[in-house]
Order: sequence, then structure tokens, then C-alpha cells
Amino acid sequence: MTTPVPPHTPEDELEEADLEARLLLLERALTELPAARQTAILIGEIPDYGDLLLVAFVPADAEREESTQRAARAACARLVPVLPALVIPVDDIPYTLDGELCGQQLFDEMLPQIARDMLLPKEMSA
Amino acid sequence: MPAHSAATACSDKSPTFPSDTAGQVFRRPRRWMNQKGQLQPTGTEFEMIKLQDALRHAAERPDRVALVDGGRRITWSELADEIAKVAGGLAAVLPEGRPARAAFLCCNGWELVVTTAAFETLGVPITGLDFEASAEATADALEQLRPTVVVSSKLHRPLLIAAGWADREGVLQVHLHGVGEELAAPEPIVPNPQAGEPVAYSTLAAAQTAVTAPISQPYESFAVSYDAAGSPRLVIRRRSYEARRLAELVDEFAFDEDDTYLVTVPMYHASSPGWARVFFALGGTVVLGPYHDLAEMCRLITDEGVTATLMVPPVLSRLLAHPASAELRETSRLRFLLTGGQHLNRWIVNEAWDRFGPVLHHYYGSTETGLVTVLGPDELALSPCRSGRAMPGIGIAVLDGEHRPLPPGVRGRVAVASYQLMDAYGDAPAPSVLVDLGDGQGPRPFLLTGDDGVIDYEGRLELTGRTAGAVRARAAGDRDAAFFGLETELLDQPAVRDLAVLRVNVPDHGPVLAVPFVPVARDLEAAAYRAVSAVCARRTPWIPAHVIPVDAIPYSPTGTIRTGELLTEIMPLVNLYIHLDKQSATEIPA
Repeated sequence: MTTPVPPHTPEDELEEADLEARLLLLERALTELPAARQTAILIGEIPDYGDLLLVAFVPADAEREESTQRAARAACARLVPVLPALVIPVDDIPYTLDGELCGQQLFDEMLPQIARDMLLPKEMSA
Repeated sequence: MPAHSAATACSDKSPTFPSDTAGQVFRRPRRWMNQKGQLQPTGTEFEMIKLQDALRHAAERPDRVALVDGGRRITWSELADEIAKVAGGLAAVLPEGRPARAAFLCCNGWELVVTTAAFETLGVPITGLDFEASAEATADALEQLRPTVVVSSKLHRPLLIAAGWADREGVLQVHLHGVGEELAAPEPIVPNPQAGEPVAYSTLAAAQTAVTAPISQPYESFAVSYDAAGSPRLVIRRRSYEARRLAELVDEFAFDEDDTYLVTVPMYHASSPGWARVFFALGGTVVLGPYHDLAEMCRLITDEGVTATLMVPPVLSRLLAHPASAELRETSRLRFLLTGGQHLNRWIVNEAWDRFGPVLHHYYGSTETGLVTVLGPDELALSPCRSGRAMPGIGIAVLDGEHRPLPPGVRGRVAVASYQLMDAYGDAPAPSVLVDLGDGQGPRPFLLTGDDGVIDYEGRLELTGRTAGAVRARAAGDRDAAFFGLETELLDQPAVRDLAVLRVNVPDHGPVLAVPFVPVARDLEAAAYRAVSAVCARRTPWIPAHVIPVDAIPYSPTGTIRTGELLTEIMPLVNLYIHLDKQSATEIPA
């Protein structure tokens, strides 16, 4: 496909439109992961931390969960370097019956893991 | 913009229709066409299913099963008979207000199919409402639609009551029987019932009233589209496209009366009745499937000989991951599996091929545009997961900010020209623009969608996302902020080796915290329990916490807590504690 990848600017001062374009590229990259049954992207607003890029994925099997997480993390770093990213495997991604992502519900379900992933290293190193 | 460089994808393969003589003739004549490949008039155009169509199929194949719902199997002759009875009953109680419109708020079921067909027989448009929407959104949708009849089942009636539409003056309430409810005894039918006085389905079916001619009012059909914020918008069409759509789909995919279609999407979603009526119109069989029971879905595919179905990607993903679907390659007759939406992953494409063979088709369309593109299994295996080719009679353009066609390979806003397009959003006209594709046909109206996409050099459209942007979610202020620090503080407790904090929504109770912990030693379990309980009560006093000792916290290879496994282990205890709490609360005198 000929859609160009936006250049990585060292300042990372991206306009909102550029961010959206990068998120779309990320979304496309994630859908192509061979061992992710489902993927979803959220921008989570965390108290005292600001925006956080959250990627939830349902691993196709436990053996390839780690490699899928590494691949997703790499895609986040490459395509959306402007936002800190957390890639979290989940058992399921909530959707409405007609297939719309239930973003807030997913966020609420991931919150304990987000807290664990974000806060533990920081507080342990403090 | 040079004509040859505009990125457009348009199929010119149009069949011949009474009102469209410019297209090509169908590849092979079919039963409902004459020898010139023209549609035979059936009195009215195809909709969900009308009485006259059901009678026609009943005359040809009276004992063929038309509809399957759980243990109930309805033949074509039974279905025609039931539609006639219910249409007669409805005609007797239909309010005098015009235009007559109906709305329904209920799950899929055979009574809903019959009721929908009865309304369409009477010429009354019936529209489904999302029963997962909020009361405000439901009230808003009903205010826009202004129905004169509201059909509901017991399960979703509280939503109707909350929306303030359960007892509106001049609005007839029709009550269907929900799952597990006993049929109400039929009562004598009373014309013009009082506001809020419902008419039960059984009463309509027992009315013994002759079907009258369709009421006289201009053709309109409605659908409710919900935007990203959950606000409803009424999508209006003033011309029926069903006959042409049916002919195009049959020509493309060779559906016929021997096909069996499995419904997996709620009927309020436009695609669900849209595809079911294709198979009703052909005299095939429609099977109403469960939304969540994947094992039952697999059984239905095998036992009912399902040949075609539509599933949203999340359901398809769960089905493919379910052990019961492993045998379907040997046992199913499935030859057409359609999915569409943003959440199609490569894993689904590959796994569907492994489990079902080359049957997966990906579509793009919306309530506003109808069906726009389809990509077959061969191309889907090689193309990005959100690609598609324009269906016959559909034009696609990718436009820049000033609504000029963009060249291939450049991302822009997707616009659609189609005979299936809506005419208006409520009182507002459809967001259309005139676009000249440089194909000699001059400027044509295209509907601007909310999607971004790119057309490649082979004419395939790839969706790149919604213009509405990424989904945003936020922590709920101070409460979630406190929740953030909770786990850290809990893990600092000296008697705790490991711990997890899970927020669980318990049915009929509400949210609770489940806090499984591993004590550092058996004899410190009680101390750890007291410490963890105290921290939870201090930091998150608004949510009850249930602290439970476990042997280990299960982790995935990436260090994520296996929530499902952990909940399976602890939820029986959490439920027991909730029950004991309630019991002790009722035993303590005030």
C-alpha cells in the first residue's frame, strides 16, 4: 500500500491530525499481527499522568503472547512515539452486540493492570 | 485533476430493471425474473417479508421450514398464516394518526419477525431501536421517529418506561412474549385502546380479522444510526431499493431458495433484517441464533445446514477461538460468511480459512450508505483487512478537503454514490456533494461518509479509519486516582507476598473490589487479611472490597494477571460474601 508513513520528528510536536494519522497506521499494523485475535486502541486520560496510548490485544495462544506484545510495543514506538504506550493482553475486548468497541468499559477493566504497569516501577525506584 | 488520475472505484455491472434499462442482463435467468432478466412484479417491492411473498412461498413449498427460533420451527405455510392473522389484528387496532410508523425494542425472536412482516404487509414502516442504548438516547430516537406503535418485550420494557414512551397518548403498545415467558391468554380485541393499555401478541394473532389493503401513505423507511457519542440520528429513505439490492446480491453470490441463513446480529441493526430478508425473499430458511452462546451457534451451523451468515468481527473472533468450531470444516455447509467493521484482524482471516475454507467475505457499508464494498476470500487473504471492491451499481470516490477526487494511493474522505443511499437525516438533507469523476458522466451526487480511506491502483478501497478519531477513555477523577495507588500500597504490606485488585460488576449488586492475595506465610494469613481489608476501606471506601486468600496469582507469559482464571477461582467466594453481607444486613434490627 502506498500510504506514506509520516516522518518521525525529533520534537514530537504533532498536530492532532498527524496523531490521528499515526494512530490509524498503528491500528492497521496491529490488525496484521498474526497471533492477535483482537486488538483495540484507546487514548486513556490518567490522573496526574495525562494521555496514554493503550493497546489491548487478545492473544491467539499463550505461547505467542510475549512475541505479540513485543511486536505491538515496537509498532507503538515506531508509529506513535509521541505518546507513552502500554500494551496489555486481555481475555476479551468488550463490544456492543453490533460490533462497536465499548471503550470506557475496556479502560475500566484494564485499569488495575494499567496501575500496576505504570506505578509499580516508578514507586519502586523512588 | 486529470480524469484518469482520479481515485474512484465504480462498478458498472448493473442488471436490467424496469426503471433502469442502461445496464447489462443478468448472467443467468432466475425464478423471480422473466426471460429478459427483468424482475417480475410482485405487487410491492421486497421488504423483510410481506404476506403476499409468504403466501407465494407457502404455495410452492408449504412444508419447507421458513424460520427457526430455538425449538420452534415454522414452515412457510405456518408463517404465512401467522402473518395474516397478526396483520389482521394490527389493522383492527392501528391508531388513526398518520403517518403510521412503528418502532420495536426487543431481542430477536419469531414473534418479532412475524410482527415486522405484518407491519410491512400493512405498509407501516417499522424501525428497530438499540436496546443497549441509554434511556436518553432511546427517548431522543423515539422523539425523532414519532412512532404511532411501539413493540416491546418484557426484558426491554424498563428502557421504554425510562424513556417515557410506555404510555404515550395516541401510541399503541404491542407486547411480545420474551424468552421464558408464558404466552398470555388472548383477549377480545378492542379498537383504539387507552394510552398505556397494551395489546398482547397473542391477542393480535387470535383476532380473526381479515387483512385490509395497505394504508395509503408515501413510502418512507427509517433506521437509527448512533454516532460515536451515542446520540441517535434518524436515517430516512423515500425510495425502496430492496428489489435491486436483492437482484445484485443474487447475481453476485448465487443465493437461492435452498440457502439457510443464520442471524447473529440484533434485528435493530440495519444489516440484520437487511440480510435476513434476502433469504426470506428467495423462499429460503432463516435461523435465529443466540448472540453469545457460541457452542449453540456452532451446533446450529451444523444441524440446520447453515449456508450463509453475517457476523460482526468480535463474534466471529470468539467463534473461531471456541473449541466447538474446530469441527465445522467437516460438518458445516457454510459457503458465505460475511463480516464487516473496523475490528477485523489477520488472525480472523487466517483462522476462518482454516476452519471454514474460502468462505469469508469482508464488507464495508453503513446505515446511511447501505452495502458499498465486498472483498472475497481470495483477495482478502492477500489484501489489508479493511479492503473492498465496489458492489455493482456503486461508485466510490476518495475526496480531499475541498471535495475533489484524490489520485490512487492518497488518503482522503470516502464518498459513495449508490442507489441505496439515504435521503435525509431527520429534517436535514443528506451530506452530499457533487463530484465529477471525469468519466464523461458529469457531476454526480456522492454522500460524504465519516470514514477515511485510500483507493489502490487495482481499484480496491482500503479503509484507514474513522474521521471521528481514536476512542478516548478517562479515569473517573479522584476515585480512579485513589484506585491507582491502592495496589501499590497493598503490595507494600509486609504480610503480603502477592496480590491483585480486580474491579468486578456483579449482576443485581453492582461494582465490587475483589482482592485476592497470597500471604508470605500460612500463619500470617489472618494478619495479611486484616491489613489488606483496612487499606481498602481507607483508600476506596465507596466500593465494597472482598479480600480472599489464594495460593498463587496466575500470570501470563508477559506478566499480566490472568484475570479470567483468577475470577473463576474467587468469584464463588465473592458471591458467597455478598450473599452473607446481605443476609446479615437484613438480620440486624434497625
